[in-house]
Amino acid sequence: MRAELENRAQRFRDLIEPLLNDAYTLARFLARDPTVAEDIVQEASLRAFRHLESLRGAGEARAWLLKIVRNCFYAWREKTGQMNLQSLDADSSEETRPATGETDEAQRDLDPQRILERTMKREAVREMIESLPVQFREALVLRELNDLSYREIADLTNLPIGTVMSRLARARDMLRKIWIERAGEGALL
Amino acid sequence: MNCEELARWIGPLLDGELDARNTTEVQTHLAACPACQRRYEANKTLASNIRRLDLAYAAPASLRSRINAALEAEMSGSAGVGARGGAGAGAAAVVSQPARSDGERVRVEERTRRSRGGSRQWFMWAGWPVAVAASAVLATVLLQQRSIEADDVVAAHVRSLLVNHLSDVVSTSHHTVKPWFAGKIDFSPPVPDLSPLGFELVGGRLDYLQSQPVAAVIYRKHGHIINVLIGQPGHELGKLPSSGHTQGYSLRAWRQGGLDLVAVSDIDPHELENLERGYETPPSQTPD
Repeated sequence: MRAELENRAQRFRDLIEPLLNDAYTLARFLARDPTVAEDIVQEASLRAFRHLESLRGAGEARAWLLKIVRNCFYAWREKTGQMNLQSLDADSSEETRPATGETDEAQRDLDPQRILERTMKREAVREMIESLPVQFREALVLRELNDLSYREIADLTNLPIGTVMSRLARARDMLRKIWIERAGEGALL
Repeated sequence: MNCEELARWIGPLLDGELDARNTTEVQTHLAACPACQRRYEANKTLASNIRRLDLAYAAPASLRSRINAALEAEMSGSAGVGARGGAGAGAAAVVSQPARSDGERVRVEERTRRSRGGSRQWFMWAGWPVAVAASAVLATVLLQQRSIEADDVVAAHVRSLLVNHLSDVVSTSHHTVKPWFAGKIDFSPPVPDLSPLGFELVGGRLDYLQSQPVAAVIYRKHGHIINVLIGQPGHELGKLPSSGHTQGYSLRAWRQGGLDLVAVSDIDPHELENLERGYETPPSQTPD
């Protein structure tokens, strides 16, 4: 019994632990709250640990764990009655200023001012993604940040692959629109 | 393939999800159609911007600790963190801490939590309605938690034991530990040789309390681990009462050389007094 648990713990360390950043990223973008995201990932981790035998191979681990995270998120959402507040008009106070003057890319990466700007920009874009309706930000995050294939996203969300494609396209269109609205056309160059 | 059809394939093309035949068709169309070309470029720019900004989050250290505690509890059936948190809680952590080089994010994300919550609280979380109520409480706690409490220090201590992250530098020589902090923190923490008093130096570690960096100097006596957390002037540590007792751990706080120090351990409180005296008057300098 103990040995079985130890084996499971080892398997968890090998397969699941390296994916906690992915899990937290998805939870964070779905829940839009750091505390709730932690609760979701903790719950998902425990479920993953309990059902680890249903994970077949390492190649499936990411999609498998993210599916659990997603389920936990929707369970939380249902219980809290948090409806989809489609706040596409989220406040625009966090406007990023487009970078002025083009310099060498490598140089830019080292300049503290640029690093600060990039950090601010990162936060601004994260907020933009958070402002997308849940089904669109979900598709976008699974693809762009969790790096899942269309097939994996379709399986995970129980949607036809065509729907995944159109949601993803829609999400990108919306994001680009918000980006340009908030930061100007130049920010996307 | 007309422009409307093509729009549908731009995403898959950029995502590498298009088969060879369709890729060729799309590229042929793009080469001949400036409007679609612009659309393609706009999509590509967005994708590269997203990648360059590195929008993913790192799982906070506090989350890894919580998962660890939850899994430890799951494995041991009932024993909680608090019960095991003392010295010698040597069970291998299930989840290891991220490298501290991720400091910026850790600093931003890490919120010390009430360690006692750990496992017990977790079992309550299994019921979502409770989770909701509790998360409202937690949110309130976090908002109020800007001022430090003894529990935060204990949490740092327990965390250091739980996650096998006791020391960044392992050395029994203060000549090794003290210089190790140089360049990692803005001040030089005192690392006296307290072996004449029975405190064996274990090593040093960089930690964060209330999002502010602290130096942790670790000693051991009679199998008990003692964390001495040292913050520079103005650190929240300075607001702690000079001695305290919580969750089975003792704390002793004092100020010395402009720095604020807090010793925390499950050792007898008198030993912490001895350690404090040793800090203020290192034994090697005491005329005998």
